[in-house]
Order: sequence, then structure tokens, then C-alpha cells
Amino acid sequence: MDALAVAGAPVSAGGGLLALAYMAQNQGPAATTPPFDFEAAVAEHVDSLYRAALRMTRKPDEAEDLVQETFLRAYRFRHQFEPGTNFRAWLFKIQTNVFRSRYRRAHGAEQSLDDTEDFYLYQHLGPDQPDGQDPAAQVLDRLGVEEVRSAIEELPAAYRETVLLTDVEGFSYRETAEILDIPVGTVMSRLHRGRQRLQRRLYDYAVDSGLIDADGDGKADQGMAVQGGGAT
Amino acid sequence: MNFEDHPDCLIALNRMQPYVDRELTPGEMEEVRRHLDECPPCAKYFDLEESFKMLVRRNACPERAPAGLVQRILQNLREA
Repeated sequence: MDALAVAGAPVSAGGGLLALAYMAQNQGPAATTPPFDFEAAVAEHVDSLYRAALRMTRKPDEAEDLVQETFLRAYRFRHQFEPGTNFRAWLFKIQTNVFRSRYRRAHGAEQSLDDTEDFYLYQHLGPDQPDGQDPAAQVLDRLGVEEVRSAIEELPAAYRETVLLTDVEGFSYRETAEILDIPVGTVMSRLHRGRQRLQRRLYDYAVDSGLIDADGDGKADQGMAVQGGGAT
Repeated sequence: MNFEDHPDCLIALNRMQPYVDRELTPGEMEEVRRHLDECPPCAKYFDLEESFKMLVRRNACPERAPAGLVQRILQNLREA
């Protein structure tokens, strides 16, 4: 599927047309299109865009639709991509914008972004366990895929997209800020609050499913109180 | 222990998030690491935060796009 490989060769259905479209673009003096073929780009990035889309829309058919629209726009506006910059981040920025324009209502009318207490897991699962027991680590080990994914999907969209980009997709604060078009400081605070909420939600799952005793709360007073209102 | 009484712990804890995200400068990373070496309660705390980040990553990550999506995308692009 290398664009150069089809040069001069009979073009069969499939990759050839796209590759030729590229070549045509790249022949001009102001060739600003990415120097790779689009089919390879789709194959490389479709999984990560899809899983992010699925967490954001929560529905497989809508996620597919979102990803299709993302690639369509990327293809149409490929000349706007700046060579040498991060192509994957560029795709995520497009997908974020498509998501926001389609789900403006859901995105704008956020649930109130109330703060949860800081250091939730640590407060509730405490350090200082006897005999090397580590309930926190055990709880984390036992939580399953479904619990984690639901907890992510329950986050308000502004926190969800930030956590997905940094924790799941591995973008830096700066890249995440660029993709979401918000300041780095806002990335950090959303990430912090998003993680606190996730921790609270997963702790609740663990209690509900009997992984830990609800009176594990009692251990909180062995914990710490950076934010006040806790142990003395 | 109460971290409020330990300025070194507070400094480290304020850097916990950028530390687990590898967003500190190398010098700052090293300062935090040095504190964690000598402060087991903080080390435990940081471990928990790292484990949590890994949990989120591990469980959200291995997901694949449905079969056929790539073909549908490429079809769209050909018609574009």
C-alpha cells in the first residue's frame, strides 16, 4: 500500500486511488500533505480512535460513525496537516471537534463538576496494613474491565476526554491541551478531578460487589489529611 | 502519620500527579524519587496512584475497532 509502489503501475481497485490522490497532491511545489499513504494511516490509528469514540459516545454504532467522519475530514483537510507535527494528535483533535459539534448539548450542559475529596483510594484503603497486607492493591487487581470502562463512561465528558487522552492514549499534558484546545493547567485540574471521581466510583463498585468491606472506611482515620477534614 | 507536619512530604505530594504522568523535569523527578526512597508512607501513596493509572490504561486499552470498519472508512474516502 505504499503510495510510491503504485507509481506507473496499473491501478487496481482499493489502495491505488487513494495513493494516487496523494501523489497528485505531493507533486505540487507546495506539497504539504503527509508523506505517507492514507490507508496505512487508517489501519494504524483506527483502533485507538475507535476506543476513544466508544468511551465518549458509549454506543458502538455512534462510535463507528464518529470515527468514519473523523477520517473523512482528515482526508478532506489533509493539506492542513503540518508535516513534522504529530499526526495521531491531529486525528484526535479532529475527532474531538466532531464529537463536540455533534454532542454539543451533552458536552455543554455538564452535570455539576463538584469535587470529590482528594486522595480517595488512599483515604479509604489506608496505608499501614499489618503483615504486608495490601487491600488497595488487591482491590485494584480484582476490578474488571467492565467496571473500569463503566466508571470512565460515567465521568462528565470534559473529564472523560482528558483522562482518555492522557491515561489511555498516552498523550502528554501539552498534546492533550492542544487536542482539547484548553490550557495545560486546565488539563491538569481536569485530570486530577477525573481520577478522583474514577477512584471514588471504583471504590464504590468494590464495596458493592463485596471486594472490600464498607467499614474499610474505618481505615481512613489511619490515613492522611492533606485536605483537612480527615485525620488529626 | 500526618503529612501536614512534614514539609518534604507536602512538596512531594503536590508533585504526585505530574510525577506519575512523567511530566516533571528530570531534576524534579529525581528530587521526588529521593524523597520516596526515604519515606515509605509517601512511597506507598505514590505506588497506589501509579497502580490506579495502570489499571485505567490496562482495561481501556486493548480494545479493537470492529471488523469491517477499516473497509467502510476506505470506501468513504474513495467516494470523497
